Amino acid sequence: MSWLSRERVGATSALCVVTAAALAARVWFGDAQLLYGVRIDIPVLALSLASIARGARFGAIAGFILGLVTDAVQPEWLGASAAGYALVGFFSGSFGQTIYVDKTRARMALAGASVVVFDVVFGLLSVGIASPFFSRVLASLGSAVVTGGVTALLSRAWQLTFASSRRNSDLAADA
Amino acid sequence: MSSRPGTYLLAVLVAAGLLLRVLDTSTKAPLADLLLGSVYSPFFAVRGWAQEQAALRTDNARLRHLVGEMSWKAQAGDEYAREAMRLRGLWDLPLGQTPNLHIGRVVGWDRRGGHEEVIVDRGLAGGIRQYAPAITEHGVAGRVRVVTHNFARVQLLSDPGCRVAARCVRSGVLGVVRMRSGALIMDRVAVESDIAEGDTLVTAGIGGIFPAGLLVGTVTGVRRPTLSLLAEVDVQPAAQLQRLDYLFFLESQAQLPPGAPYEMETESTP
Repeated sequence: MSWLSRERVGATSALCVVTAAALAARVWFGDAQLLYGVRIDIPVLALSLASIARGARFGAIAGFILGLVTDAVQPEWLGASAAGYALVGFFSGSFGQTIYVDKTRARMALAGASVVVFDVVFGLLSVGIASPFFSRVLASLGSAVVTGGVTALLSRAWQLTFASSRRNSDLAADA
Repeated sequence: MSSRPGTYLLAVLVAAGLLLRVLDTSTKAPLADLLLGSVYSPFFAVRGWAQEQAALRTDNARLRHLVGEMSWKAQAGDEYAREAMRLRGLWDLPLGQTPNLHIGRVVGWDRRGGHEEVIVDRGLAGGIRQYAPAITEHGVAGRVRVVTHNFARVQLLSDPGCRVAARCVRSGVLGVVRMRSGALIMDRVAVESDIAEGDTLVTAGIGGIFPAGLLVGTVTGVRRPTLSLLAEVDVQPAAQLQRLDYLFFLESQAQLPPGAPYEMETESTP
Protein backbone atom coordinates (compact mmCIF):
# COMPACT_ATOMS: atom_id res chain seq x y z
CA MET A 1 0.00 0.00 0.00
CA SER A 2 1.32 3.38 -1.00
CA TRP A 3 0.29 5.25 2.14
CA LEU A 4 2.21 2.74 4.23
CA SER A 5 5.54 3.74 2.78
CA ARG A 6 8.80 3.35 4.62
CA GLU A 7 9.13 7.11 4.70
CA ARG A 8 5.78 7.61 6.42
CA VAL A 9 6.34 4.82 8.91
CA GLY A 10 9.70 6.34 9.79
CA ALA A 11 8.23 9.82 10.16
CA THR A 12 5.36 8.57 12.32
CA SER A 13 7.77 6.61 14.50
CA ALA A 14 9.97 9.64 14.93
CA LEU A 15 6.94 11.75 15.82
CA CYS A 16 5.86 9.19 18.41
CA VAL A 17 9.34 9.11 19.91
CA VAL A 18 9.52 12.89 20.12
CA THR A 19 6.06 13.17 21.63
CA ALA A 20 6.70 10.36 24.09
CA ALA A 21 9.98 11.93 25.17
CA ALA A 22 8.31 15.29 25.66
CA LEU A 23 5.39 13.81 27.55
CA ALA A 24 7.59 11.68 29.74
CA ALA A 25 9.71 14.70 30.56
CA ARG A 26 6.61 16.75 31.27
CA VAL A 27 4.98 14.11 33.47
CA TRP A 28 8.08 13.10 35.39
CA PHE A 29 10.04 16.31 35.71
CA GLY A 30 7.38 18.97 35.13
CA ASP A 31 9.09 22.33 35.25
CA ALA A 32 12.11 20.99 37.09
CA GLN A 33 15.00 23.45 36.93
CA LEU A 34 18.66 22.94 37.50
CA LEU A 35 19.44 26.46 38.76
CA TYR A 36 17.85 29.91 38.35
CA GLY A 37 15.43 28.75 35.67
CA VAL A 38 18.07 26.87 33.69
CA ARG A 39 16.77 23.49 32.55
CA ILE A 40 17.43 20.69 30.08
CA ASP A 41 14.75 21.27 27.46
CA ILE A 42 14.04 17.68 26.55
CA PRO A 43 11.15 18.41 24.12
CA VAL A 44 13.28 20.87 22.15
CA LEU A 45 16.20 18.46 22.24
CA ALA A 46 14.14 15.58 20.90
CA LEU A 47 12.38 17.74 18.33
CA SER A 48 15.63 19.28 17.10
CA LEU A 49 17.39 15.96 16.64
CA ALA A 50 14.37 14.37 14.94
CA SER A 51 13.91 17.36 12.63
CA ILE A 52 17.55 17.31 11.59
CA ALA A 53 17.08 13.70 10.59
CA ARG A 54 13.61 13.97 9.02
CA GLY A 55 13.49 17.42 7.42
CA ALA A 56 11.65 20.74 7.72
CA ARG A 57 8.09 19.59 6.94
CA PHE A 58 8.31 16.83 9.50
CA GLY A 59 9.78 19.27 11.99
CA ALA A 60 6.95 21.75 11.55
CA ILE A 61 4.18 19.16 11.90
CA ALA A 62 5.86 17.33 14.78
CA GLY A 63 6.52 20.62 16.54
CA PHE A 64 2.90 21.71 16.19
CA ILE A 65 1.57 18.40 17.57
CA LEU A 66 4.15 18.40 20.30
CA GLY A 67 3.19 21.94 21.24
CA LEU A 68 -0.51 21.09 21.41
CA VAL A 69 0.21 18.14 23.68
CA THR A 70 2.53 20.20 25.87
CA ASP A 71 0.02 23.03 26.20
CA ALA A 72 -2.76 20.68 27.27
CA VAL A 73 -1.77 21.09 30.91
CA GLN A 74 -2.15 24.89 30.60
CA PRO A 75 -5.28 25.43 28.47
CA GLU A 76 -5.08 29.23 28.67
CA TRP A 77 -1.80 29.14 26.69
CA LEU A 78 -2.91 26.46 24.25
CA GLY A 79 -1.39 27.34 20.87
CA ALA A 80 1.68 29.21 22.16
CA SER A 81 3.88 26.15 22.41
CA ALA A 82 2.38 24.79 19.20
CA ALA A 83 3.52 27.84 17.26
CA GLY A 84 6.90 27.92 18.98
CA TYR A 85 7.67 24.24 18.46
CA ALA A 86 6.47 24.41 14.86
CA LEU A 87 9.02 27.17 14.19
CA VAL A 88 11.78 25.32 16.02
CA GLY A 89 11.04 22.07 14.18
CA PHE A 90 10.88 23.79 10.81
CA PHE A 91 14.16 25.68 11.17
CA SER A 92 15.96 22.71 12.72
CA GLY A 93 14.90 20.61 9.77
CA SER A 94 15.84 23.33 7.29
CA PHE A 95 19.29 23.91 8.74
CA GLY A 96 19.80 20.22 9.22
CA GLN A 97 19.54 19.73 5.48
CA THR A 98 21.93 22.54 4.60
CA ILE A 99 24.71 22.24 7.17
CA TYR A 100 27.02 19.34 7.67
CA VAL A 101 24.81 17.66 10.27
CA ASP A 102 27.31 14.94 11.20
CA LYS A 103 29.26 17.56 13.05
CA THR A 104 28.57 17.36 16.74
CA ARG A 105 29.18 21.05 17.29
CA ALA A 106 26.65 21.96 14.62
CA ARG A 107 23.96 19.90 16.30
CA MET A 108 24.87 21.37 19.65
CA ALA A 109 24.57 24.90 18.31
CA LEU A 110 21.31 24.11 16.56
CA ALA A 111 19.75 22.62 19.70
CA GLY A 112 20.90 25.59 21.77
CA ALA A 113 19.53 28.06 19.26
CA SER A 114 16.26 26.12 19.16
CA VAL A 115 15.88 26.51 22.91
CA VAL A 116 16.36 30.26 22.69
CA VAL A 117 13.99 30.61 19.73
CA PHE A 118 11.30 28.60 21.44
CA ASP A 119 11.62 30.47 24.72
CA VAL A 120 11.42 33.82 22.95
CA VAL A 121 8.38 32.83 20.89
CA PHE A 122 6.63 31.16 23.80
CA GLY A 123 7.42 34.09 26.08
CA LEU A 124 6.00 36.57 23.60
CA LEU A 125 2.84 34.55 23.09
CA SER A 126 2.26 33.77 26.78
CA VAL A 127 3.46 36.49 29.18
CA GLY A 128 4.31 39.12 26.55
CA ILE A 129 7.14 41.65 26.81
CA ALA A 130 7.36 42.22 30.54
CA SER A 131 9.94 41.78 33.24
CA PRO A 132 9.34 38.01 33.46
CA PHE A 133 9.97 37.81 29.74
CA PHE A 134 13.52 39.14 29.99
CA SER A 135 14.38 36.97 32.97
CA ARG A 136 13.08 34.01 30.98
CA VAL A 137 15.29 34.95 28.06
CA LEU A 138 18.31 35.13 30.36
CA ALA A 139 17.47 31.74 31.81
CA SER A 140 16.92 30.53 28.28
CA LEU A 141 20.54 31.26 27.39
CA GLY A 142 21.64 28.99 30.22
CA SER A 143 19.16 26.34 29.15
CA ALA A 144 20.48 26.61 25.61
CA VAL A 145 24.01 25.89 26.77
CA VAL A 146 22.95 22.95 28.91
CA THR A 147 20.61 21.48 26.29
CA GLY A 148 23.23 21.96 23.59
CA GLY A 149 25.75 20.12 25.73
CA VAL A 150 23.42 17.21 26.29
CA THR A 151 22.66 17.16 22.57
CA ALA A 152 26.37 16.99 21.81
CA LEU A 153 26.82 14.08 24.19
CA LEU A 154 23.88 12.18 22.71
CA SER A 155 25.00 12.93 19.19
CA ARG A 156 28.53 11.81 19.90
CA ALA A 157 27.32 8.58 21.52
CA TRP A 158 25.05 7.95 18.53
CA GLN A 159 27.89 8.49 16.09
CA LEU A 160 30.27 6.24 18.02
CA THR A 161 27.71 3.46 18.28
CA PHE A 162 26.55 3.45 14.70
CA ALA A 163 29.89 4.36 13.15
CA SER A 164 31.49 1.33 14.81
CA SER A 165 28.66 -0.98 13.73
CA ARG A 166 28.88 0.40 10.19
CA ARG A 167 32.63 -0.14 10.17
CA ASN A 168 32.14 -3.74 11.28
CA SER A 169 29.55 -4.37 8.58
CA ASP A 170 31.89 -2.82 5.98
CA LEU A 171 34.70 -5.08 7.09
CA ALA A 172 32.39 -8.07 6.90
CA ALA A 173 31.32 -7.05 3.39
CA ASP A 174 34.95 -6.66 2.32
CA ALA A 175 35.76 -10.09 3.67
CA MET B 1 16.56 26.13 2.97
CA SER B 2 13.20 24.44 2.59
CA SER B 3 10.93 24.60 -0.38
CA ARG B 4 7.97 26.99 -0.72
CA PRO B 5 5.28 24.35 0.21
CA GLY B 6 7.20 23.76 3.43
CA THR B 7 7.09 27.49 4.18
CA TYR B 8 3.36 27.60 3.52
CA LEU B 9 2.90 24.66 5.84
CA LEU B 10 4.84 26.46 8.55
CA ALA B 11 2.75 29.59 8.05
CA VAL B 12 -0.46 27.63 8.35
CA LEU B 13 0.70 25.86 11.50
CA VAL B 14 1.92 29.05 13.17
CA ALA B 15 -1.32 30.76 12.27
CA ALA B 16 -3.27 27.87 13.74
CA GLY B 17 -1.21 28.11 16.90
CA LEU B 18 -1.83 31.85 17.18
CA LEU B 19 -5.53 31.33 16.56
CA LEU B 20 -5.68 28.75 19.33
CA ARG B 21 -3.76 31.10 21.59
CA VAL B 22 -6.24 33.98 21.19
CA LEU B 23 -9.30 31.80 21.65
CA ASP B 24 -11.12 31.94 24.97
CA THR B 25 -9.97 29.46 27.56
CA SER B 26 -13.42 27.92 27.91
CA THR B 27 -13.39 27.23 24.20
CA LYS B 28 -9.98 25.53 24.37
CA ALA B 29 -10.74 23.53 27.51
CA PRO B 30 -12.45 20.59 25.74
CA LEU B 31 -9.46 20.13 23.44
CA ALA B 32 -7.08 20.30 26.39
CA ASP B 33 -9.20 17.79 28.30
CA LEU B 34 -9.23 15.48 25.32
CA LEU B 35 -5.44 15.62 25.03
CA LEU B 36 -4.97 15.13 28.75
CA GLY B 37 -7.38 12.20 28.89
CA SER B 38 -6.01 10.41 25.85
CA VAL B 39 -2.34 11.20 25.39
CA TYR B 40 -1.27 11.87 28.94
CA SER B 41 -3.20 9.08 30.66
CA PRO B 42 -0.72 6.25 29.86
CA PHE B 43 2.14 8.37 31.15
CA PHE B 44 0.23 9.28 34.28
CA ALA B 45 -0.58 5.60 34.77
CA VAL B 46 3.07 4.62 34.39
CA ARG B 47 4.18 7.39 36.72
CA GLY B 48 1.55 6.35 39.28
CA TRP B 49 2.69 2.74 39.02
CA ALA B 50 6.33 3.73 39.43
CA GLN B 51 5.53 5.90 42.43
CA GLU B 52 3.48 3.11 43.94
CA GLN B 53 6.34 0.66 43.40
CA ALA B 54 8.77 3.04 45.03
CA ALA B 55 6.41 3.50 47.98
CA LEU B 56 5.98 -0.27 48.23
CA ARG B 57 9.73 -0.78 48.20
CA THR B 58 10.13 1.75 50.97
CA ASP B 59 7.32 0.20 52.98
CA ASN B 60 8.71 -3.26 52.37
CA ALA B 61 12.14 -2.29 53.63
CA ARG B 62 10.64 -0.60 56.67
CA LEU B 63 8.40 -3.57 57.44
CA ARG B 64 11.26 -6.02 56.97
CA HIS B 65 13.30 -4.04 59.42
CA LEU B 66 10.31 -3.96 61.78
CA VAL B 67 9.77 -7.72 61.48
CA GLY B 68 13.41 -8.35 62.29
CA GLU B 69 13.20 -6.06 65.28
CA MET B 70 9.96 -7.63 66.50
CA SER B 71 11.34 -11.12 65.99
CA TRP B 72 14.36 -10.24 68.06
CA LYS B 73 12.13 -8.76 70.75
CA ALA B 74 9.93 -11.86 70.71
CA GLN B 75 12.94 -14.10 71.15
CA ALA B 76 14.20 -11.90 73.93
CA GLY B 77 10.73 -12.04 75.50
CA ASP B 78 10.75 -15.84 75.34
CA GLU B 79 14.11 -15.89 77.00
CA TYR B 80 12.87 -13.50 79.70
CA ALA B 81 9.84 -15.75 80.24
CA ARG B 82 12.07 -18.79 80.62
CA GLU B 83 14.27 -16.93 83.03
CA ALA B 84 11.22 -15.81 85.01
CA MET B 85 10.05 -19.42 85.19
CA ARG B 86 13.47 -20.49 86.38
CA LEU B 87 13.52 -17.83 89.06
CA ARG B 88 9.97 -18.64 90.08
CA GLY B 89 10.95 -22.28 90.46
CA LEU B 90 13.99 -21.24 92.38
CA TRP B 91 11.78 -19.33 94.76
CA ASP B 92 10.18 -22.58 95.90
CA LEU B 93 13.47 -24.38 96.47
CA PRO B 94 14.33 -25.14 100.10
CA LEU B 95 17.48 -23.08 100.15
CA GLY B 96 17.27 -21.77 103.68
CA GLN B 97 20.43 -23.57 104.68
CA THR B 98 22.40 -22.47 101.64
CA PRO B 99 21.71 -18.85 100.91
CA ASN B 100 24.67 -18.41 98.56
CA LEU B 101 23.71 -19.33 95.03
CA HIS B 102 25.70 -18.97 91.84
CA ILE B 103 24.33 -19.16 88.34
CA GLY B 104 26.16 -20.54 85.34
CA ARG B 105 25.14 -20.84 81.73
CA VAL B 106 25.58 -24.18 79.99
CA VAL B 107 28.03 -23.67 77.14
CA GLY B 108 28.92 -27.25 76.22
CA TRP B 109 28.11 -30.92 76.51
CA ASP B 110 30.47 -33.85 76.87
CA ARG B 111 29.07 -37.31 76.29
CA ARG B 112 32.29 -39.04 75.40
CA GLY B 113 32.99 -42.45 76.90
CA GLY B 114 29.55 -42.83 78.42
CA HIS B 115 29.91 -39.67 80.47
CA GLU B 116 27.09 -37.17 80.82
CA GLU B 117 28.66 -33.86 81.62
CA VAL B 118 28.02 -30.23 80.82
CA ILE B 119 30.36 -27.28 80.87
CA VAL B 120 29.24 -23.97 82.37
CA ASP B 121 30.77 -20.55 81.97
CA ARG B 122 31.45 -20.03 85.64
CA GLY B 123 34.41 -21.30 87.60
CA LEU B 124 36.40 -20.52 90.69
CA ALA B 125 36.23 -16.84 89.82
CA GLY B 126 32.46 -17.08 89.86
CA GLY B 127 32.36 -18.66 93.30
CA ILE B 128 31.88 -22.24 92.15
CA ARG B 129 33.80 -24.94 94.01
CA GLN B 130 34.45 -28.58 93.34
CA TYR B 131 31.59 -30.91 94.35
CA ALA B 132 29.16 -28.01 94.49
CA PRO B 133 25.58 -29.29 93.93
CA ALA B 134 24.13 -28.23 90.61
CA ILE B 135 20.38 -27.82 90.50
CA THR B 136 17.68 -26.46 88.24
CA GLU B 137 14.36 -24.96 89.17
CA HIS B 138 12.93 -28.49 88.90
CA GLY B 139 15.43 -30.34 91.01
CA VAL B 140 18.88 -31.85 91.30
CA ALA B 141 20.90 -31.87 88.09
CA GLY B 142 24.31 -33.07 89.21
CA ARG B 143 27.49 -31.91 90.88
CA VAL B 144 30.66 -30.08 89.90
CA ARG B 145 33.36 -32.59 89.07
CA VAL B 146 36.13 -30.33 87.83
CA VAL B 147 36.41 -26.59 88.16
CA THR B 148 38.89 -24.17 86.65
CA HIS B 149 39.22 -20.44 86.97
CA ASN B 150 36.49 -19.62 84.49
CA PHE B 151 34.71 -22.87 83.72
CA ALA B 152 33.21 -25.79 85.57
CA ARG B 153 32.45 -29.29 84.42
CA VAL B 154 29.27 -30.67 85.92
CA GLN B 155 28.64 -34.37 86.23
CA LEU B 156 24.95 -34.83 85.60
CA LEU B 157 22.63 -37.16 87.45
CA SER B 158 22.48 -39.23 84.30
CA ASP B 159 26.23 -39.89 84.46
CA PRO B 160 27.02 -43.37 85.78
CA GLY B 161 29.56 -41.86 88.15
CA CYS B 162 27.13 -39.55 89.92
CA ARG B 163 25.26 -40.74 93.00
CA VAL B 164 22.80 -38.96 95.25
CA ALA B 165 21.64 -40.09 98.67
CA ALA B 166 17.85 -39.88 98.46
CA ARG B 167 14.88 -40.28 100.75
CA CYS B 168 11.29 -41.11 100.00
CA VAL B 169 9.14 -38.23 101.15
CA ARG B 170 6.16 -40.43 102.01
CA SER B 171 7.83 -43.28 103.88
CA GLY B 172 11.31 -41.98 104.63
CA VAL B 173 13.01 -44.93 102.94
CA LEU B 174 16.64 -44.15 102.10
CA GLY B 175 18.59 -45.17 99.06
CA VAL B 176 21.11 -44.05 96.48
CA VAL B 177 19.90 -42.65 93.18
CA ARG B 178 22.30 -43.49 90.41
CA MET B 179 22.49 -44.38 86.75
CA ARG B 180 22.82 -48.05 85.91
CA SER B 181 22.50 -49.77 82.58
CA GLY B 182 21.13 -46.63 80.96
CA ALA B 183 18.35 -46.08 83.49
CA LEU B 184 18.11 -44.04 86.65
CA ILE B 185 17.43 -46.22 89.68
CA MET B 186 17.28 -45.99 93.43
CA ASP B 187 19.82 -48.46 94.72
CA ARG B 188 20.27 -50.03 98.12
CA VAL B 189 16.60 -50.23 98.92
CA ALA B 190 15.56 -53.31 100.89
CA VAL B 191 13.06 -55.53 99.16
CA GLU B 192 10.55 -55.15 101.96
CA SER B 193 10.82 -51.36 102.05
CA ASP B 194 7.70 -49.22 101.86
CA ILE B 195 8.18 -47.59 98.47
CA ALA B 196 5.77 -47.52 95.58
CA GLU B 197 5.28 -46.00 92.15
CA GLY B 198 4.59 -42.29 92.30
CA ASP B 199 6.61 -41.64 95.44
CA THR B 200 8.64 -38.47 95.47
CA LEU B 201 12.33 -38.64 96.21
CA VAL B 202 14.36 -35.82 97.74
CA THR B 203 17.97 -35.52 98.78
CA ALA B 204 18.62 -37.06 102.15
CA GLY B 205 21.38 -34.65 103.13
CA ILE B 206 23.65 -37.41 104.36
CA GLY B 207 25.92 -37.94 101.39
CA GLY B 208 28.25 -35.00 101.98
CA ILE B 209 27.39 -32.94 98.92
CA PHE B 210 23.65 -32.27 98.56
CA PRO B 211 21.70 -30.56 101.30
CA ALA B 212 18.51 -32.24 102.44
CA GLY B 213 15.18 -31.63 100.76
CA LEU B 214 16.12 -31.02 97.13
CA LEU B 215 13.81 -32.75 94.70
CA VAL B 216 15.54 -35.65 92.96
CA GLY B 217 12.77 -37.38 91.05
CA THR B 218 9.72 -39.62 91.10
CA VAL B 219 9.46 -43.38 91.42
CA THR B 220 8.14 -44.80 88.20
CA GLY B 221 8.30 -48.52 88.99
CA VAL B 222 9.23 -50.99 91.76
CA ARG B 223 10.23 -54.59 91.25
CA ARG B 224 10.86 -56.98 94.11
CA PRO B 225 12.78 -60.09 92.91
CA THR B 226 12.05 -63.13 95.04
CA LEU B 227 15.66 -64.22 95.34
CA SER B 228 17.13 -60.79 96.05
CA LEU B 229 17.50 -58.70 99.17
CA LEU B 230 17.20 -55.42 97.28
CA ALA B 231 14.27 -53.95 95.36
CA GLU B 232 14.70 -52.50 91.91
CA VAL B 233 13.32 -48.97 91.91
CA ASP B 234 13.07 -46.98 88.69
CA VAL B 235 13.31 -43.21 88.98
CA GLN B 236 12.32 -40.37 86.68
CA PRO B 237 14.61 -37.41 87.34
CA ALA B 238 12.90 -34.17 88.25
CA ALA B 239 15.35 -31.98 86.37
CA GLN B 240 15.10 -31.96 82.61
CA LEU B 241 18.63 -33.13 82.03
CA GLN B 242 18.43 -32.98 78.26
CA ARG B 243 17.32 -29.35 78.21
CA LEU B 244 19.69 -27.44 80.42
CA ASP B 245 20.21 -23.74 79.79
CA TYR B 246 21.33 -22.56 83.17
CA LEU B 247 22.42 -24.28 86.32
CA PHE B 248 22.33 -23.01 89.88
CA PHE B 249 25.18 -23.92 92.16
CA LEU B 250 24.87 -24.16 95.90
CA GLU B 251 27.73 -23.60 98.28
CA SER B 252 29.72 -26.81 98.38
CA GLN B 253 29.38 -28.97 101.48
CA ALA B 254 32.59 -30.82 100.65
CA GLN B 255 34.27 -29.47 103.78
CA LEU B 256 32.31 -32.02 105.82
CA PRO B 257 34.40 -34.49 107.80
CA PRO B 258 35.77 -37.54 106.01
CA GLY B 259 33.50 -40.50 106.13
CA ALA B 260 30.39 -38.47 105.50
CA PRO B 261 31.04 -37.54 101.87
CA TYR B 262 29.51 -40.65 100.49
CA GLU B 263 28.33 -38.77 97.39
CA MET B 264 31.92 -37.71 96.62
CA GLU B 265 32.86 -41.23 95.66
CA THR B 266 33.14 -41.84 92.02
CA GLU B 267 32.74 -44.99 90.05
CA SER B 268 34.44 -46.00 86.91
CA THR B 269 32.31 -45.77 83.87
CA PRO B 270 30.75 -49.13 83.02
